[in-house]
Formats: sequence, C-alpha cells, structure tokens
Amino acid sequence: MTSYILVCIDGHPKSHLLINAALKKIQETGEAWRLVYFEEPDETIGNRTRKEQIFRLLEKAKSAGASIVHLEQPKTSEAKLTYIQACLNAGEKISHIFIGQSEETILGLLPKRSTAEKISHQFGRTVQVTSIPLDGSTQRPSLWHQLTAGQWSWYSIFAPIFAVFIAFTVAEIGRQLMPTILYKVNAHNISLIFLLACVIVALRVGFISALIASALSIVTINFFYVIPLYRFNIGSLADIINIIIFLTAALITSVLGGHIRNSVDSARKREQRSKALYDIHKLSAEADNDHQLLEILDRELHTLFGMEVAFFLPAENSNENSTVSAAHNETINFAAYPKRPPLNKRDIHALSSCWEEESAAGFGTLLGIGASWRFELMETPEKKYGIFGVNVPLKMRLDASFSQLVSAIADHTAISLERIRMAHDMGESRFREEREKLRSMLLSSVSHDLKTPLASIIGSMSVMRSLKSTGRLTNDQQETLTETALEEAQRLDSFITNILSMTRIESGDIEFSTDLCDPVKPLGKVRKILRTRLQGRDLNIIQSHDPNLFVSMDSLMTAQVLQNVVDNAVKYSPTGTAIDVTLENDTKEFRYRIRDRGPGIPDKNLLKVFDKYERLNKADSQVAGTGLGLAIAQSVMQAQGGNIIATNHPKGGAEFVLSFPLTPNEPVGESHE
Amino acid sequence: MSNLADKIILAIDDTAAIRTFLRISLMDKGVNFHEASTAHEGLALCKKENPDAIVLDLGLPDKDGLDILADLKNQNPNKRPIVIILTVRSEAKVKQLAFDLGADAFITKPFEIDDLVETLENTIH
Repeated sequence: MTSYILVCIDGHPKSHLLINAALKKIQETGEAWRLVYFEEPDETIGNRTRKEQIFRLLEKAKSAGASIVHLEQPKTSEAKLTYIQACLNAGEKISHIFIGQSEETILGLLPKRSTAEKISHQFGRTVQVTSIPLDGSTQRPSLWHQLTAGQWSWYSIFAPIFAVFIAFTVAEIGRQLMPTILYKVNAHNISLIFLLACVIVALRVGFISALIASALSIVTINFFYVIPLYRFNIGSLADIINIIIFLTAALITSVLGGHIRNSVDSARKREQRSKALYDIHKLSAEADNDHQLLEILDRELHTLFGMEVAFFLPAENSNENSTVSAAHNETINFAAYPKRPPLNKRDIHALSSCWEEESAAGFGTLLGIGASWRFELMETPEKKYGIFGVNVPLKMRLDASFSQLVSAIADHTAISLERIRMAHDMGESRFREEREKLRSMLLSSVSHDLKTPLASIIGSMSVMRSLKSTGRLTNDQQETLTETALEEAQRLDSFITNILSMTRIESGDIEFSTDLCDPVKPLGKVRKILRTRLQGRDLNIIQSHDPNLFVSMDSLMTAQVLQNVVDNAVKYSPTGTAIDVTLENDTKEFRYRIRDRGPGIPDKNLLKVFDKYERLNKADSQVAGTGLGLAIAQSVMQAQGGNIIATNHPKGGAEFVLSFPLTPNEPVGESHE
Repeated sequence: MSNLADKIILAIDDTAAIRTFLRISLMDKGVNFHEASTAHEGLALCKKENPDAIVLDLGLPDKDGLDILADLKNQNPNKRPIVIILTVRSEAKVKQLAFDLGADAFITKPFEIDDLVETLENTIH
C-alpha cells in the first residue's frame, strides 16, 4: 500500500494555511493526500459564511487531487486522534500529518494541551507531524447561537405565555382543592409546577421561549404566591435567593432541553433527507420522459432542500421565455426548468462557468464567487445534459455534506436523463427494425403469392410447347394445359387486384359506391371466377333474406370480399366438402354467412385472421395467398360501413359473417326492378 | 428415349395446376406418376410406391417440405429416392438447409418443364 499525506481540518477560519502547507509538501514529494474534515454539529443560522469557506476549501483540495473524507463528530479533537489511530490500525501508511495548532482552553479559562500536541506525542515516533499555528481558537458558534437555532415565529412568544398560564391554572386548582393549611405547608412546590412548564417549553419550542417562560414564572409566583400577595415585592434576602435558585434551575433545564431539541431536530432532518433521497431514486426510475423526470425531481428536491432548485438544459430555441443566456457569451442558452429563476449577474456568470469549465460553480466553489446559487454540471461519460442549480438562501443551515449532496443529485439526474434517452433510442430503433422486418416479410409474401400462379402458367405453357415440338400433344392435353394456365392467370389477376385494393384502401384513395343493389348479384360473379376452384364441391346459396331487399353496397368490391372469403373456405376445408353461403336480414342489417366444413379456427385466432401481417409471422408452409385476402375483406367491409367477423359454426367448420347496416329508409319489401 | 421411362416419380405439391402439368409431361415420358397434395399424403404414397424420385414442394399446407425431407429419403433403407425441391423460396439459407437434409437438386419456381426433366434425367440412374 502506498503512503499518503493526511491533512486534518475543522471549522477553523484559517484552515487554508494548513492546506497550503500540505500542497507545498505534495508538490515536492508527489504523494497522494487525504483531507479529513471534522465537522461539529452546527445547526445555527449564521453559519453560512463559515460553511461557504469550508466548501471552497474542500473544492480546492479536491481539484488538487485530494481524497476528501467528511466526518461529523461532536468533539473534533478526540475524533482526530481516534481517526488517525484507526487508519494506522487498518495498516494504512501515513507519511505525514498536517494539523492546526490553536489555543484550546478548559471552560474558556485555563489553557490545556492542544490536539496537535497530543497527536505529536502519540504518533510522532512513526509519522512526521507538522503543526501549523493558527491564531485564536476554532471558530465555533457561540453557545447563544447554538441554543437560539431555529426560526422565529409568534409561536415562540405565545407558547411560553400559554405554558405559564396553564401552570398558573394548575396551581390555582391545586389551591382550591386542597385544605388551606396543607397547601400553605407545600406552598414552595408551586414553583415546581412553573419549572415543569419551563422545561416543557424548552423541549418543545426552544431556549429563548424557555427564558421568556422563566421570567414570566418568576413574576407570576412573586405576584400571586409570595407574601405580600398581589404585589411585586422583593423584600427579603430569602426572596432574592428563591428567585436566583428558580432562575438557575430554569436556565439549566432550558439549556439541556434546547440541546436535546436541537439534536432531535438534526436527527429528524437527516432522517427526512435519507427518505427524500430514497424517494427521489425510486420516483425518478418511473419517469419515461425528460419533462416528467424534472417535474418529479423539482418537487422532491424542493422538499428535501427547502430551497429553490432549477434545472438548466441547453436550449435549441433561444427565443423561449424560459431561457437564460449567459451575458458575456450569447452562444449558450439554457431552458430553465421548472421556470426561469431570477438570477443576478454573478449567478449567470457562475452558470456559464459551470458549463464551460465542466465543474461545480457558484456558492461554495472556486468558480463564480459571490453567487447565491450553487450550480453543478449534470453529466455522464457520454454527454453533458445540463446544469442543476440550488439557490442557497441567506438564512440557511448547511452542513459540509451539502456539496456532496448537490453533486450526487446532479449525477443522479444526468444518469436518469441518459436512461430515458437510451430507452427512447432503443424504442425508436426497435420500431424501425420491426417495420423493416414487416416490410420485407410482406414483400416476400407478395412475391410468393405472385410466383405460385406464375409457376403454374409458365410450367403449363412450357409443357405444351415441349409436347407440341415432339408432335405428341393431344387435344385433351392441350385443353387441360390451357385451362390450367387460364385459371392460374385469373388467380394471379385476383392477387394483383387484392394487393392494389389494399394499397388504395390504406392510402384512402378509393371511393365506394353506395348504390342499392340486389345482394344475390355479386355471388354470381364469385361463382364464375371461382368455377374451377370449386370443381368437385357444392357452393350452396341459401336465400333466407327478404327477396325484395336491396342493400346499399359497392357490388364490385363486395364481390371481391366474397371471393376472398369463399376462396379462403376452399383452401381450409377438405376437397369435396360443401360451402354454404346464407343470405339473411333483420330490420337493422343484412348478412352473408359463409360456412365451410373444415377444422374451424382456434378461438385465439378469430381476430388474428384479419391481420395482414399475421400469416407473415408463420412459416412459409401455409397455403399461398391467404394472408391478404381476409385483411382486404375486412378493410373493404369497414370502409363500406359494414363489418366482417370470423366465428366457428356450432356444427363445425369456420363461418365468416359479413354484415351491412340497413338505413331506415332502405326499402324492405319493395321492388326496385 | 428418355431414361425416365418406367421410373416411379412422386410429386408432392399443394397447387393442383403444378401437379397437372407435371403429370401430363412426365407421363408422356413413360413415367409411372403419382401425386399428393399434402405432406401426410405424400409420406403415405412414398411408403406404398417406393418411388425412384420425388418432386417436393416446400410450402405444404400441413407441414414444411423440409420437415419431411429426411423421412422421405429414409422411408425404405434399400431404396433411397432422389429428392428434387421445387419451391418459390429462393433464399440461399433455405437451399443450403435442403441440401444438408439430403436433397439432390433445388429448382426455384417458376421454371420451365425442360429444366426439371433435365435435372431428373441427370440425377436418376
């Protein structure tokens, strides 16, 4: 393990001297170094400036290659000793320790042995220890600051008044309920009731409020319970002693209460922070677009920090209202989210420095000093996504982990943005791939459908030529071959018509006639076209509809639909079985029912049969030409305002139902011949 | 005279028109011609007739022709028929697969009858 230089700092305002000394040494030796910041819990309002100094120092050390360790300890001097000991125990090699030597006193009076001396004494034999004298003592917040931490409100004044009033009421009730003699014997205990009120106020509200409660209590006790009654009187020495004892007791309990309250507050805040961070991670995983992500983050971070936050993403359009353009460089424009915050010149400068220098800028950093915003770059190794900004208000309690937190959130946001971008890209490319696949499959299916009849035609014709050339072509053979070729040519024609219809329907480039016509008529055409396909089969046309009914339909297109459906029935039922076409109607619609006697359609495929891509997903082993026929049938029926459904007939076989709506004025039982 | 005379040839194709012109042409050459429109029917006929050659379409309604190719070849251990694939599928990988499974020739539809007759004459002995 390589050795390193250890620099220990605390909140001392001259800690930079330590870092400078260490940096000089590091430049000489080129060793690695570690900066440990020991922070005392400091929840006071006025720590902003001190904290900013420390943030800046930590930034500086980080940019000089230090690894930063941040420890929060109630007693930093002891913590330093413990930490160094722990490092050495863990087998780490510390070559040099830099530590600040400042005045340390016991209770502010008696000088005591400084931490630096203790460290020199304890580790000086194995490690070189350099103590840098620092003027004055560690600047830590005064007791007053520590105790008065908290926000002022009317509650802070009202609460002690209320508490003393309650104490007074309890005391009065006690006096009314107890026999006078007994009560008089215990009159001093009244002060305990008031003391209790002071303790409760200290715990629930704070130190200042507890002081107010103490003062009020003394006045109340003196006025109501000290002889002479109903008068302020500090006559005897005993009275003065009583007051002093009460005040001391109240003060001590209030100080302790205030301390406890601060610690509890601080612990609660930490707890809230971890919960908020956890929520942020969880929630931002659910976002599927940038806008949603930033909305979630803005909401959660606002709760977490209790400060104004904003995201600045590089804007494509500089005319937007929400954009922020860097004053000195018009080329950078940021779209601010959720809204453009009011930024002053220094903030804007820090913002653009953050983007250009690719490092944290603004409050507490070396870039853009004087800004009230802290900016952190949101970047991944792939890309700079934008800038995350937090507005640090003047009255804000901060701890040293603030910088780490901001930086962690900026990283998290960048990673989330990247995840969204990648998911989006992947979706896009998958969609393109799928579409390409479908297109090529459709093409191969179409070419299959066209080539099969062509193969029959070319084959038949080549046989005819071959036989003719040898002079052995009989009349029977010639007739069979010609018929075959003709039939296949017609099949080819119907394929081509289907494909063209599909294209025209899909592009909306087809108009359907709505003339009233006899629904039996299209069947004649179907029978004629499919004559040879239907050889050896019965096509039963069952006319159970109103014989005088005329239906509004495009008879040519309907013939094509019927042809496709009957052709499909031929393909999917055994040779020689009959196909029934039933015509029927009620008052609302007219229907063709086409039933075959094949195996039927599995229920899960009843809808899929109309999907033009469905057959494409299967192997090529299916019967040629089945793919588009039903898809076209469906498109034509829907375009005519009708419908087609596939079912299975109760007595077996597949049944397709074509329905045409009948408008009320369509004449039923009236001849249109 | 063609060397196809008296050979037993089985055509398995679901398109009736293809079977029709194959029948007319091959019977003219003196072939003992049999035909089937499904894989199932084809396998049964192959077992029954012990053909010298099989003309096999790949796009059959009940099975892919490639699925029954090996079965057709190995139906009779004493007499392995010549198998000629007739299909509209022209992809190289299909062709390779057919040869791997034991096909003797591969003809892409559409084709002229002379191509098929020539192939048959060259492969049948």
